[in-house]
Amino acid sequence: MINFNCKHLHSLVAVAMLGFASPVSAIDLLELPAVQCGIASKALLLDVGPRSDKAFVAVGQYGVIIRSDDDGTNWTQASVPASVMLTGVSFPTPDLGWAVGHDGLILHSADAGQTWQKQLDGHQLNKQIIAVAEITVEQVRGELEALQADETADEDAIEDAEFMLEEAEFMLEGATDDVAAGPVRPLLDVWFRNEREGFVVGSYGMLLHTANGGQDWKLVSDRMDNPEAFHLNQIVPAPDGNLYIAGEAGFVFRSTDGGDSWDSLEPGYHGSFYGITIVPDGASDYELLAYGMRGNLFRSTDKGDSWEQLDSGTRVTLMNGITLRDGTVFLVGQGGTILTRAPGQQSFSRAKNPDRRPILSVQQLAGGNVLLVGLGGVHKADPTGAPIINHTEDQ
Amino acid sequence: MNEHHVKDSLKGAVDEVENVILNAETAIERVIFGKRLWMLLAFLLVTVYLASTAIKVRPDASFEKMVPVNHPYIAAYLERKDELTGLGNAVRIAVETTEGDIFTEEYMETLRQISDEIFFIPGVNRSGVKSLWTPNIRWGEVTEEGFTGGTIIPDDYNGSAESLAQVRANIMKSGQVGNLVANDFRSTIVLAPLMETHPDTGEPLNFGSISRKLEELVRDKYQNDKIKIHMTGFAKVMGDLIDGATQVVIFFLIAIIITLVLFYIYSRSLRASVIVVVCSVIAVLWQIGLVKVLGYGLDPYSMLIPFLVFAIGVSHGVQMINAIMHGKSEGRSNEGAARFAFRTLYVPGLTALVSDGIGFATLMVIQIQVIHDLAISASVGVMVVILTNLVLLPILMSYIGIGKKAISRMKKFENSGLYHKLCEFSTIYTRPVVARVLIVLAGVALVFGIWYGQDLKIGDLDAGAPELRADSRYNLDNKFIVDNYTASTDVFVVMVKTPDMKCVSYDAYSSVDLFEWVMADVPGVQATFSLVNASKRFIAGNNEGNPKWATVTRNQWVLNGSVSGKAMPPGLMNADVNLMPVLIFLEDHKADTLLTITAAVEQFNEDYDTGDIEFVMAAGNSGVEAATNDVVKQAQYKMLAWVYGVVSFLVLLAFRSFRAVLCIILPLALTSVLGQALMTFLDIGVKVATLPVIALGVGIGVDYGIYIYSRLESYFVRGYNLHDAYFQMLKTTGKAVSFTGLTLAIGVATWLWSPIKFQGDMGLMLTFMFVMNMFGALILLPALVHFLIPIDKYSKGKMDQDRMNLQLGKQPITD
Repeated sequence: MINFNCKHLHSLVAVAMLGFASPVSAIDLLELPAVQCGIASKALLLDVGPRSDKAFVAVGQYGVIIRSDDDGTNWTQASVPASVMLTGVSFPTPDLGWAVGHDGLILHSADAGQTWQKQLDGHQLNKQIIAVAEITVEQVRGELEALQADETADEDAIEDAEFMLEEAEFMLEGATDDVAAGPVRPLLDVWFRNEREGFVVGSYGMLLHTANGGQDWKLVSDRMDNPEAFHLNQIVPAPDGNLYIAGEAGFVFRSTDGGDSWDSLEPGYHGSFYGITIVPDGASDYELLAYGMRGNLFRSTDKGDSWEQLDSGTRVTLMNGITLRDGTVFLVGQGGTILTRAPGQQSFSRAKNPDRRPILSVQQLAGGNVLLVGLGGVHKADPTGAPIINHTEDQ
Repeated sequence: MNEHHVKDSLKGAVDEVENVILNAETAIERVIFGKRLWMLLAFLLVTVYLASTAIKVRPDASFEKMVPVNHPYIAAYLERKDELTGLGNAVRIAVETTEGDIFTEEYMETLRQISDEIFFIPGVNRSGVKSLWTPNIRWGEVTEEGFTGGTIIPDDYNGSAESLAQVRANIMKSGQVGNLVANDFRSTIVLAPLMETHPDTGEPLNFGSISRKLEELVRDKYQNDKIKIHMTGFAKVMGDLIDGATQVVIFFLIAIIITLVLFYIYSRSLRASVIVVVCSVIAVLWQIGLVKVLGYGLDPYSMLIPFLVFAIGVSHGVQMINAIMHGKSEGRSNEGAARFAFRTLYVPGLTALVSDGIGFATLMVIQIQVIHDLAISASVGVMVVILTNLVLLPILMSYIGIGKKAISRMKKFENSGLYHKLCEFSTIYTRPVVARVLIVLAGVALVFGIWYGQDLKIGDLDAGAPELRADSRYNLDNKFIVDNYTASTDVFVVMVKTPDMKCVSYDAYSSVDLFEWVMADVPGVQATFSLVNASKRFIAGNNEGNPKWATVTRNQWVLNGSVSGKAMPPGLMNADVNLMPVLIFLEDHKADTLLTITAAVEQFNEDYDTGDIEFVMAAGNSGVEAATNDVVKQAQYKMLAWVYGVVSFLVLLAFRSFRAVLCIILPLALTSVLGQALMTFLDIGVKVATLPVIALGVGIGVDYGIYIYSRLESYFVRGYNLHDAYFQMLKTTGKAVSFTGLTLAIGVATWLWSPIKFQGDMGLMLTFMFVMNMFGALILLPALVHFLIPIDKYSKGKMDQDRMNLQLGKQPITD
């Protein structure tokens, strides 16, 4: 809600401001190729994804993309054309991958993550943002005019429509201001179904879709009902083909038609959700765990229709999680927090982890241990969450 | 024999000069000894005045005097110093509990008292004091509603278990673990930033008094079995330096006593011993008094000078007493013997002291104020010795005289078989074979020294405050804080200059962000910190603490918001918003580490065009050290060239022979080279403290050479061969030279026990150089003479020299 408040504040402040930073900057992190750096595997890393059984790719601050082909032991830095913070990565095949990040950046690699090229950046994205906002204003205005023309229309409906128009114009204004500042809106996660079709979610309710491997990216935020443009934090596929998005302000979105349309679910919490973890139960059945700020943890066993709150045992924000191959649920978050739930158990237990740095993403290694990335780079833990000191990392 | 030729052709001129000298000598002698009582009275008055001034001198230490203010790094820092308040000068006081952890009512109460105590120390910037008890340390938490937070100690704190649990929870949410709270929860820090000037007097803050106040009001008062106090900070280093330097007075007394005892053993004359020591102490009083009158202070570096002045005074006193005793033994009166001594030693003594003084003055080429001050103190000191030990001493001796017993003891000793044998044995150095071997050995030693000394490091090599010893209380305190908290004490600061009001802009942020990332990859860098860094955290905080937002943005309003919060640490940018420091925390302050850092910053400036965002070095303790190292490195060889150049020139002037210059200077050069090898071996770096040592060593070392060579030459002109000349020299001057070496070494060797590390290093190096120079002059010099000096040539000038000899020694004394 800070963001929500700020968004409004922002437009007000923007009017009073003398001006934004000059558009031409000496160092533009969106244009500057990532520095090749000996400590890349110790950078703040925000997401890690598998490329194959033993191959992983992690992304993070300063345009760092690192890759490992030996089950997370040795990491090498990839060649990346930008230095902005990268927030998400997805490899639908071992060779083809996409990464997203700040300044509306979408990167693509066709060589197993060794080199990356820009597919989209915030400058291009801004045009779409404005266009979508303008279309929305037109639509809402059209609806309002229709209502106003209709003598039988309910006064409340007209008032609602007026409010909607106001809101839509406000969004347009905000978008216009942001565009004036340049590419400012971060993308937050990416998921590719296969080598052609993928989705990107981002701040201010951005949802992008491609059906041709990223040659064209289309802003399709209007597929979901998110008038206040809350941030979309993570997109997760379920075994039955459903897609789920964890969002700001307690929003969880679900698509049962492969992403064409989305409905919003209400687990009953008004803080942010950062992640959703699917816990498979049989071939197509599964349990949904949604979690976020201050240890809030919700579950649904009916694909999101109804939710119950669970006791996570922590007040620390949970950021990410996976289900290990044996069915153990493994959740991570701020303050080095690791929560695990053994198969068949109901309650979560907190692993002892002396490292207090935030953990932001997890993957299970082929060897069974767990790969953790976050502040301080790459770490490993055993399936119970106990840290593993890997000496080869410190070389 | 070109040189020979020149000398012959100049012979007439030379004779003239000699005549002038001899006449002048007589004139001076007449003035000095003619009105002995008046002279004594004048000396007494000056001594009373200067001693009263000297007693008022208090040691001081100031930051700007210890750094090379003209170096671009320091100049850049000093220019903006007032705007870089956050870097500054703070004292950290860690309050440790030895039982359990900090979460006890007792501990918290003690901490509150200490925190209050520190708050009221004059000179402490009260609004900046930080501890668990101060309102500026807050915990914060992002909730669904936004930020909430409060002070660490809750308003309703009452010392109960619940209250303490609340305190613990607040600490965990405050982000202070590792900063104000130790990682093991057994200590916390009270941080006290200091002001530039004393609030009442408006004068620059006196670090010594702040440091003493902290000792009295905090350590003495609160340290007990359960509470341990650890204090660090620049003011504490300075305070401890001044305290340690004060202890040096005791070493001075020890040096005086040892010298007195040795002198008595040497001269067997109590009167002579006391007079020499008294004259040398008078020299010290004059030196300190004069330096004060000239407007200079006494700092931990220039504190070495009184020791040197004393030792130089004694060493010249030895020569004087030696000559007086010989005069006396030849049957002169007290005054006659004093006059004889004065006349014989006037020229070599003056030459030696003037070359000392000028040698020291070459230190002025180093652009660091403390070395300047040291050079001035030392030059003043040796000039003073000319008056006290070449003038006052013989006058006093002309009244007091030397006991007959002392003379007979001296004669007995000099004619004793043992001493005779020792002198006779020593003459083997003049044998061609031995001389050849000695020269070869010296050559080998020289080559070895140059080879080994190549690894000589610049700068300080130990952890903690390099000025103090590794096991000093300060460095133990420092180690405690480094071990238990997550902050390095070696900070290199790069100043980022931007156009006005542009610190908080995407241009500045993107450049600084990139810079910090590049620097983080440099070996030796632990972490970096800046406004941008703090701002990124705040931006993430504003986005519910999500690290995916912890990056720079082009959104100006987000940037503005991110720097205006209560949580923003002060001092990360200036009031004009055109300057921000980037703090680079280092693993150590070794010269190589610092060089890597400065090279990396230069490389960054070369690699990236950051437009009007400038990255300027340097501030912080490591920045200052980097600059100092740079100056020291450049000055090292420059200073050597100057000191050797000047000393060689003076020797040339005195003996008018390039060969003589070689004979005197080459042993010194060997000592300098071996001194560098010794420093390499002992891991002592070239630094502000050790740089002057070589100049001092050469300046004083040349004395031996001058005395010995002048003596040898005086025998050559009488037609002695090298062996005989050397034997006679040993019997007359040799003993005095050995004793001189000993007294000089003792004077500085007491410094080995100084609590201040650099004083210990200086003491060690000077002791080595004095002893080596002595052996060089006694052993190597005659061997060099054997190869370089055509002794035959002196027979040509025999007639002149006989005349001179007559005037010097045989002239009947009037009066």
